[in-house]
Parts: sequence; C-alpha cells; structure tokens
Amino acid sequence: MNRDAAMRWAWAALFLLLAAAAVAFNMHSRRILVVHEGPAGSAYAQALGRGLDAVLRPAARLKVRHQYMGFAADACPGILAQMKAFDPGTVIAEGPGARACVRSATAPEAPPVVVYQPALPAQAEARARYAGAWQRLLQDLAPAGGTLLVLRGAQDQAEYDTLAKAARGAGLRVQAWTDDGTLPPTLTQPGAVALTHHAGQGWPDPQGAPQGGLLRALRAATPVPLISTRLESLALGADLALAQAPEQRGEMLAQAALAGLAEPGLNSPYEMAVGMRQDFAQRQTLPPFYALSARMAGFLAE
Amino acid sequence: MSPPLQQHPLWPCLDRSSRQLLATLAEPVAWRDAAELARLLHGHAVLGWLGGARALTLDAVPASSLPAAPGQGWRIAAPVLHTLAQGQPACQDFLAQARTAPTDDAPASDTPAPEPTLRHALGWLAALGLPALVLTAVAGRSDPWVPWACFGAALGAGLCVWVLGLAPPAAGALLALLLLMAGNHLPVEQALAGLAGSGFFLLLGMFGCSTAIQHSGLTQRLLAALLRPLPHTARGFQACLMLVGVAMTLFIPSTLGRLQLLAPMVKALARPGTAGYAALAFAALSGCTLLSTSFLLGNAANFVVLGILPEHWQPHVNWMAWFQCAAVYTAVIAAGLAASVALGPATQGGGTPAWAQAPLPRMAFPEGVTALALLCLGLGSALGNVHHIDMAWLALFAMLLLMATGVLPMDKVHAGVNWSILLYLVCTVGIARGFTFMGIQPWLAAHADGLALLMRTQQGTFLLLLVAAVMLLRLALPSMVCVATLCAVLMPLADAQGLHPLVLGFVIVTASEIWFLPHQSSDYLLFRESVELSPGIARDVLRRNAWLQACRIVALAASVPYWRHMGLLQ
Repeated sequence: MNRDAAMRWAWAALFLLLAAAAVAFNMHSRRILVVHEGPAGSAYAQALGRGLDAVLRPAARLKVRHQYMGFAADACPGILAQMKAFDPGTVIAEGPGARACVRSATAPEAPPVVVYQPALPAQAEARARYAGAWQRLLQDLAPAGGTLLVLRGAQDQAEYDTLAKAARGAGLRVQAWTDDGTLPPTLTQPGAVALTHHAGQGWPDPQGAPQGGLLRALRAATPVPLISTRLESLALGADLALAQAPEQRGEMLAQAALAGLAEPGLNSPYEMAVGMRQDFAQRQTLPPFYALSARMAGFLAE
Repeated sequence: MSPPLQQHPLWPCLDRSSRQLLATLAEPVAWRDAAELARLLHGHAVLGWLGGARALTLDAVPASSLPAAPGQGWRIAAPVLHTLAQGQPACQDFLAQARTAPTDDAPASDTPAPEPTLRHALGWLAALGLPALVLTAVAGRSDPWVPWACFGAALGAGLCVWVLGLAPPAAGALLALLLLMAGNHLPVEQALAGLAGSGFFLLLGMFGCSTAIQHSGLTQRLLAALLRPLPHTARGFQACLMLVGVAMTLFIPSTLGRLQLLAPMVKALARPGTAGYAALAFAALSGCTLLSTSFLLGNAANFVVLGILPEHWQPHVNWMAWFQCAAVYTAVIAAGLAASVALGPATQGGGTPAWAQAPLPRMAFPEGVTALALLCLGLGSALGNVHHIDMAWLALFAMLLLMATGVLPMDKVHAGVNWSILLYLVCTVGIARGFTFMGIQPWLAAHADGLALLMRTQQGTFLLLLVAAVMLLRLALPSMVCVATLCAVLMPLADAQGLHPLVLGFVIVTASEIWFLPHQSSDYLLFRESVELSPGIARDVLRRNAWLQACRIVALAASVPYWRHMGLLQ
C-alpha cells in the first residue's frame, strides 16, 4: 500500500472513530415519549404541546416524540409498537386512556417512568382552586335554586364530589346520574347538565370519540347548557368546558418527566382554562370575560 | 480538443436521468469525411463537434446533407435517443430542428432555447393566466372561499405544467409553491417545511452514496462474486442479476440508475435476440423495480411519502419502520421473483463471460471506501432503534466520508445528485402542508363523511379500493404526481381517522408503481431501448411482467391482516 492510500485509509478510520463516538454519545441521550389520548392537531393538543415545549425544548440531549391515540382504544397496539422501538426512559401519559395503554405494555427489562396527572388535582390548594372556579362558573351560568344534573362515569366519584360541592356553593341542587348508556328520565328539568371525565364511555360513536354519542343524545333531548370537565368535549358538542389550563398542565408534566417523577408537583398557582362554543357564547348572558378568555386561549370552538 | 458531451446543445434539453443514460450509452467516435460519417450513422444518431467548435447533431439526415469536414463526437443508437427524448418536448423540438439544420454555428453554451410550440404557448398561457385571473377576480374580497380559490389557482397552475408536460415536474411544483408563498396564502415556515425535515437531507445523502456506488465498480464486483459460487446456468445468471438488482435497491434511490448499471451486464451474459436474453432482461428489470417500495431508500417517491407524513409521525418512521410495514409485501414479491426464476425459461443465452471467470482483482480504494460507507449506512439503518440517530444524518455522514476520502469529488456530486427530484420533494412537502394549513381534513370529514367512515371502520376495504383508484389514475398521471397529490389530500384525514399514515403512503406509492402498459413505466421504456429488446422479446417480457405486477396487488392484499396484527390498522 502506498503512502497516499495509507493516508486516505487513515482518514476513513478517523471518520469511523468519530461515528463510533457519536453513536456512543447518542445512546445515552434521554428519550421521552408523550402519549396523547386525543387526536393530533386539536386545540387542546396544541396548547398542551406548547406547555411541554416550553420546558423540554431548552433541555439538552433530549429526544421527544409524540403519539396520538385519537381516543381509539384499538390504537394502543400501534402505540406500544412505537414505544418498544423508541425505548423511552420516560413516558408522559396524557389522559386515562393513554395511561391504560402504556400500562398494558408487557414489562420490559427497564420499564420507563410513566408520568401521569389525573384531571382532578391531588393537591389540596389546587383542588380548592378547581372547585372555586367551578362554583363561580355555575353561579354565573345557572340561576340559584335551580338544578345541576351531573352525569358521571363510574370511576369519577372524587370529581363528582368536587362538582357537587361547587354546585351547592353556587346555590344549586345537585342531581346525580351514573352513566349506564341511558339518559336520566328527568332531563328537561335541570338548569344545566355537567359531564365528568369518564361519562359517556358506553355510548356508541362512529368517530370513536368519548362523550360524542352522549352529547349528541343530550343535545337532541334538552336545550339546557351542556358543560364538561374536559376541554376536548367542545369539539364533540359540549357548550362549555372548564378544566386545568393545558399549557400549565404540559409544563407540569414536562417538569415531572425531567425530574423523573411519576406525578407532577405544583409550584405555581393552579390555572383553569375555559372553552366555549361560539354559538353558545352568543346566546348566553355570561360575563364577557368567559368568551374573551376562551378566545385568547384558542378554545372558542365553531 | 473538442468540448465534452455536457456542452453539446442537446444536453440542457434532457432531464437528469436521461443525461446520465446518454453519457453511459454514447460511444465516442471520430470521422475524417462525409463517407466515414455516413458509415457511423447507420442506425445511429451522432452528436459532436465540427472543427472542435461547431456543434453537430445528426439524426435521420440524408447523406447529401452530411458535412465534409472532419470532426469528433459520440454515437448512440437512434431508437435509444428517441426514447430518451420521449416526454421531453424541448429535446424533441431540438432533434426535429437538427434534422433540417444539423450543424449549429453558435457555441454550445450560447445556444438559444428551442422555439416554443403552440401547445407550449397555450399551456403556459393557461398555467400563468389562470392564477392571474383568479387573483385579479378575488382582489379586495374577504369571502371565506377566497383562500381556497387562491390555493386552487396555485395548484391548478402547477398541474397545468405537470399534465401538459411544459417543464419538468419540479418546475410545476415550484410554480405552485411560489404562488402560495408570494400571495401569502401559506406561511413560509409551512411552505418550506420540506427543507426543515430530514427527508431532504436523507435523499441528498443517498444520491451522493449512489453516485459513488455507480462509479466505484462495486456492483460489477458484486455480480462477479455472486456468479462464482452459483451454477453457471441460465437460471443461475437470472438469479444473480435479480439479486444484484435487489441489493442495489437497498441503497440506490433511482430505478433508472439501477437499470443503467445492470443493462451492460445483461448484454454481457447473453446474446441479444435469444430467449435466454429475454429471461435475463426480465430478471434484471424485475430485480431492480419490484422491491423499490420495500426499502425506504429504494425509490425517490418513498421520500415524498416520508416528507408528507404528519409531523408527529416523521420521527417514528425510519428504515426499519418502513421495512416492517413492507415485510409481508416483500416476502410475497420475493416468492414471486423466486418462482419466476424457477418456473421461467431455462435456455442459455450465451456463455459465461471472461470477466466473471477471472480471479477477482484486489479491491481498489474507491471500492473499499464505498463498501465501508455502505456498511456504516446499513448497520446504522438496521440499528436505528439502538442509537436513535436519524437516518438522514447517517446518509450525510456516509456522503461526507466518501467526499473527504476523495472517492466522491465535488464535480461528481454536482452531476450525480438529482437536484430536480430534491426540488420536487421540497415543493410537494410544502404543498402538502398547504393542504393541512387550509383545513383539508375537517373539510373532507364534513363533505366526504362516507370516506371518513370507510377509513375508520373498514380500513382493509378502503386500502384495496385505494389500490384500484391509484391504478386507474396511473393510466393518465405520472407516478410522482399521483403519489404527491393523493398523499397530500388523504394523509391528514387518515391520521384523524386512525389509519396509520405510513400504511396509507406505502399503499399509494406501491400501487402507483404497478404498471401493465409500457407507457406507464418510463424506466421500462428506457431499459427496453438500452438492452435493445426486439418486439417479440419485449412482448414476452411484458407478459411475464403482468404476472409479477398482479403479484404486487396480491402482496398488498396479503399485507392487510399483517398490518392489523401489528396494530397499524384498527
């Protein structure tokens, strides 16, 4: 081998060395997978993404990927296949459906940390803010002495208790109906109908969306305002929704993921976001800040 | 000394692939007088220079019109040149002009563009007049349909260029994208999303690597190495050519480039006109084309699919994810290829060439480094789920290795990279983002709820109907246009309806590659001419091809249960 060829092979060897170093370096980078229960491109997913990005984007040596279930339970095998290929150290499960899917994975050698935050805050202070916001909304929405019909999912006891307390604080009577796939018989009497997080899961919906079938049935049966504890319900037919601000939720989940915690902590005041349908905002006499707030947050749905 | 072929006035009239083929197939010649030139012209066209400066193009010119002056240039079989010119109006016009005036006094670089025909003039008038009319009509209006009208006008302009063949497809796509950006109908970051994605750099890196492969002699070594252990029978040769075609599909994104490398081997292994020659030609053709969508790097259209995938899906799709999606399809096609060799004619078309029997020479440095770069790329692709480095950066790394070691000089990069396809990729990704930006998904969901329902509830049926629809569209539209348009329109809806966008893209790109009629495959037409298939043999190749193309449809249908099992379909 002449000197020129030897030099060129030396170049190639140096390149290979560099490649090996890059691979070794990259293999130790952190990987976070965010599994969204809802669809991509929704206003909620975009707002949550902004919150996640605010924390995760500046972090170095981090690979973040997103997967969207689109509320379809049968999307889970595909999600798990992606999860296996990506092999993340941390999985952020946004929504109970996402958590159920992630938990159904066969246990790998080193299972990822699953970060999950329930819709109802666990911290006392945050829960008080949550209840306070609902009480204020119900005061503004329904006349005192009226009835709030709460359609609740079987596993939403804590959420129902909080809503009921808020409704009573607003001077409303509370009527509960555990969702069993049928509508309650006294539907025409309430001042408003509220849906908790898991209500409507037994209702068939051609799009596979949670609450879609129930909201359609309610809309056909009653003209009263339909309100929900999840912002995604706006796209499915709810008139108004009140829940934790998704940007803050995203930030909390991301901070927990970076810290390796399974449950996010709260280090700033709990923020709520309101969402409304445009036609509902026009025909209601709610104080203008509701519509303004919904518009600014991007939750004034058509 | 005469200028090179690249400075001949015909050269700028050809597209990139045709130039490559012309450079490979043209044979250098020189002549002293008209009689010698007439002998050279027998069944051929001659491109060259008179006196070292005057360009000369001789194609079906009467002997009386031949120049008496000596000259030199290149000779190419006339049918091959005509096939290269097919679908390239500028080139056809140039050749037509050359038949009446074979010499050109102007220096090549100053040669004016061919005069536009009436069809061109009308086509360009429609392409530019349509958006101008629409923009004038909607100026100052704020109706909700105005953005759609502007978007439609921009797309219409691009389609005019595509469908009427006024310019290469990239020019049509660029025109549409420019209109969208200039009119502020699409934010620049969306319009140029193709440059931000890794697909562009992956394709760039792969063009660089494939240029090195084509020039390194690695393919010939591979064929010789395969011929050595295998029996030197007709079926052995066919299997070898097929395997080399498949191996090249792993790394060379251009089908034409692969066929171009195999064409001389077909000629070397059998005598033209024999049944064995037909079988070898068919083996080479099917080995190079049938698995082009099985591997991410095997087809430029695969990169268009990759670029149009919804943003959150793109990081999940690497070489391995693509291959997993195509696994059953690949298995069925591989079985079909094996059966076609086993059950096909076993007549020997010629003896074993001397180069295949001689001992393999010591591997040269360019071959060694190219093999090393491919090894890195192959290992990197296969182990993507371990190191999590995007494949685009691996491809660029391999290209850099080749450039830094002198195996891939800059002039070869300029000549080997198909800039037209890269530009087309950037533009189609931008247009696809435009569809999403305009809200095609909610519009389709609202106005084509039957389609959305079919996508959600009967995904297998939808995909099979899609295959049929794509095959029908392909009777009239080129493959790239078909893939780009259908992916841009259907992918956002598929994502929303729980249909895996990669599966949708794979089905579209594979179905668009299915062809039964010669005019549907420009690769076949050029290959037919470059290996000089006689009409009888071409018919035989087409008949056998029909079986394997039908096999593609079966392979797609057989993939549906597999995709369901993998969770890619619901």
